[in-house]
Formats: sequence, structure tokens, C-alpha cells
Amino acid sequence: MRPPLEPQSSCANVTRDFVRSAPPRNDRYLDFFRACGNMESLELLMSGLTKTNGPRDPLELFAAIDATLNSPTLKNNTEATALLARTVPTIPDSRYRAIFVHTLGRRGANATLIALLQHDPSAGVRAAATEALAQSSAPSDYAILFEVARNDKDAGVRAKAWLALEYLNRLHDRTDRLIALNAQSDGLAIVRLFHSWLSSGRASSPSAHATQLVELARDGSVNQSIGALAAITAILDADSARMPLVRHRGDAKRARAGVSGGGHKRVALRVPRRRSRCVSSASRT
Amino acid sequence: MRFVSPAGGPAASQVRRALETQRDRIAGAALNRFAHSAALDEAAARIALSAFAAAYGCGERAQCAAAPRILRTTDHLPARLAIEASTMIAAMPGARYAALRRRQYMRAFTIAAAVLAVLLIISWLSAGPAANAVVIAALCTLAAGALLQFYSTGPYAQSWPPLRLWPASFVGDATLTMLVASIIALQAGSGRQRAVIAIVAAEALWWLIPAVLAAAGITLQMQHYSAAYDFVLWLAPIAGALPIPFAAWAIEGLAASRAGLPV
Repeated sequence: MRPPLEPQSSCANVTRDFVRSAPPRNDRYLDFFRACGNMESLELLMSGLTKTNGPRDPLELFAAIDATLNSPTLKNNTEATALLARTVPTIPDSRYRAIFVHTLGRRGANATLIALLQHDPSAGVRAAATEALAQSSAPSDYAILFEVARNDKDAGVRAKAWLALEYLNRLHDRTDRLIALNAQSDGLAIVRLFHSWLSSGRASSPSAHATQLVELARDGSVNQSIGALAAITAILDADSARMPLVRHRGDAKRARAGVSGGGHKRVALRVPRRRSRCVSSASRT
Repeated sequence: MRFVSPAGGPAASQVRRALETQRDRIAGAALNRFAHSAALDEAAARIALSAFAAAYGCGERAQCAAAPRILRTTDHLPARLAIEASTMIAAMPGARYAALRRRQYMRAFTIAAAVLAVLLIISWLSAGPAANAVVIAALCTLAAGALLQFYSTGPYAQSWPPLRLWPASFVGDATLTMLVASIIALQAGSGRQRAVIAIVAAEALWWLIPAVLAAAGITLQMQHYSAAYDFVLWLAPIAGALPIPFAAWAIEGLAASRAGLPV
């Protein structure tokens, strides 16, 4: 049941008091802001966040803003999104900019995300913008993501940008996949990109595939070695085969159709029906 | 959307067979990667160790007959990696980690007891009561340590670490403290002096020994995981601070009386 809407003048006044540090009377202040849902209230809250030494705890402000944005009136409101897009880059504390990046991503403000990705001085914000773009359903300018992946000054941002491109199915070149793989520092990302890189090449036979994996584990780069070891473990340990390593979009359709593409797919795609059902239930968890 | 499982399908069995012929090379590569995993994240280190275990046929649910061989190898790694490997292997259902370590500790305690028994006979036959008292104190401490180790610890890797890291565990620290404190106390003249020295020395050593061991690289802290959140780890030293000095006093008193020193 929706909470009753507050009278708009009361909303603005209470919000003004709230921003000026009047303590919330109880935990239900979020319900109040969710019920308010007006632009004036949102503007006041955002202005509280842009002050460097505002009296109100920024996390409380963020919670209030989030509640306001989730109100029935502002949930899909483009004006509210525009206000958010205007204000977020002016928030002085990069931690709160990074938090709002995901809100912007959910509201489809890709232009602002790209601007933050290109110009924000904080690596944390740029990394968050990369993640948000990777999860965004709206089409975005992949050239900028490639640019960031290749040239950002922070290694973590570069790694996230490559990973975002992989998730968005934009990595088609084997060389790019190898660069993306070697840029990663997170074990799970390494496994994902290793599989992507490996399946873009062709192994002539199962034994050649096995030899390739062992060679990579022994003499490949650190990330190739980790990826190869993960793949070897999955093959050798029959039980861990039920514990999936990585997932690919659209593979289920191809698997159902029985299509086999790259050299590795011959190994990977012919999964017995029972096992793939078990695996897809794991993906939901 | 699909999870890629390279272990599925008929071709996978061929790849598996081809990999099985190269188990030693895989194990070597995996161990090498794990040994140099200090700069990698925990997932990467876990992947390397899992591959090492998988090369010997040990997996998530399989029986792990090669667990002793795996542990023998990982126990030689630097302390932080060795305890991390032990912790991960202890979590493998088929590894029977605690049983393996029990046998290993049993052997070590038996050898130590045998050596001390020989020393006891030698000290009875040819040395004075002071040397005799030291050997008796060492035997008593060993017995106390063995009792604590075998009857008061759970099956966890932190309780049964690789043998060379045992002094860093709670029981190992307690045993070492009681041993050194009682030996120091036995050098004093009168019984009252010895009691005071035993208690004070044990209290000081109880806090000093872990720091010295950590400085020497003997630690139970893992390379990629932290147990700092574990309340027991904070509580254990405080819990031991009172009984350990009195235990040292008791051991010193018993050794002195058995060796015929003035009580």
C-alpha cells in the first residue's frame, strides 16, 4: 500500500529543516520522503549534499534522496534524473559521487556516466561509472569505454572498463581479449576473461587443448596461468563441474540449438541436459 | 545465459584423460603459482591451490587419498601460505585433515617423549639433580601440551597447523611458555624464589613468545585472509594469562620435588 501523499508545502518545509540538521524524529523519515516525492524537496536535499561542510550526515541525505527518487511521482521522472545528472558532478566528496553513479545508471543517465568516466578526478567514481555503464540497458558509446580501457591512468579503472566491454559483448578481437585478461587483478574476472580469450582461438583436438592449458598454466602470464589452472581444475575435478565458473550471454540459445563455434566450444557446449538445468538454477542464485 | 562448464560432454572426458597424463606438470605449475601468490587476490590463490589439489585427484566432494602428499608439500611453503593451504585443505570434505594431523602430531610427541626419556635416564645416571629436574620439567610440559592438544582442540587448521607452526598456536605457545618458565625457575635457589620466578617469567613469556615467533616468521596469520574478526583469537591470550603462570609454577614444583631439589 502506498503511503499517503504529504501536502507539498509541508514537504518543502520539513525537507529544509532536515537539511539544516534537525534530527529525524525516528526511522520513518524515509517513509516521509517517499511520500513527499516533489522536485523542490529533491533540490533541497541535493543542495545539502553539495555543501562541503553541511550539518546533515551525507549518508542520511543520500537515504532521503534515494527515498524521494523512489517515490511514485519521481520514479520515472526525467526532470528528477536531469537534476541528479546536473548535481552529482558537483558533489565534493568522491565517495558520494560514486554512490550516485549507480543511481544515475539505474535511471539511464548514460551521458552523465560517460562524462564522469572521462572527466572525474576520482578513480573510484570512474570505476563506478564503468560498472554502471556495463549494467546499463541503454545503448552507450562503446568507443569511450575502449578509450578508457586503453588509456585511463588508473589500472583498476582500465581493468573494470575491459571487463565491462566483455560483459557487453564488445570484445571481438583476440588481442583485445588478451589485453583485457592481463589487465585484471580480480580472480573471478580473470577466469571470465580467460575463457573468453581461450574460446576465441581454436584447438585442433582435445589433447591439443589439454596441452595448451598446461602450457599456459606453466609458462603463460600470471593471469593466463590462473585462468588455465581454473579451467584445468574444472575439468579434472568432476564434482566441481557442477560449480560453474563463468557465464556467457546467449550461449544457452546456441547450446539448445546444438551450434558449436570455436575450438573450445566443442568441449564446452555439449553439456548434458540435466547438468545444464542444474547449472542454470545455480545462475539464479 | 549459460554457465560454461568445460568439464561437460564427451570431448571433456578426452581432455580430462589428456590432462591426467600431465598431472605432475599441472601440480608443479599450480604449486609454483600458489607459492608466488602473495601479490594476487584470494580468489586467484584459491584457484592455484585447488588446481594443485585437483592434480592429485582431490576436489570439492571427492575423496582425497593424496591429502598427506599435498600437505607434505604445502607445509614447506612460507608460514602464511602454509597455514592458508592447510585451512583450505581442511575444508575439503574428503581430506580428513584433522585425522592426518593427529597422526603427525602423535608421531612428533612420541619421538619427543622418547628423546626426553633417554635424557632422563642419562641425567639420573650421570648428571646432578638440577639437570634431572630440567628433564623432568620438560617431560611434564610435554605431557601437559599433549593433553591440551589432543583433548581440547577442534578439528580446525588453526588448532592443527603444520608442525613447524605449532608453537604459534594456543597450545604450542602455552607449552613453550611453561617449558621455558619452569627451566628458568629451576635455576634459582630456594623453593619460594623458584615459585615467584616461574610465575613472573611465565607471565612475561606468555606475551613475549608470540611476538618473537611472529618476528621469526612463525605465525598462523594467513596470506590472503584475516581472522582478526574472530573474537576467540582475542580472548585466548587473555584466558591463558592467568592459568599458564600457575601451571609453570606447578610443573617447576613437581620437577624440583621429583629431582630432590629443596622445595
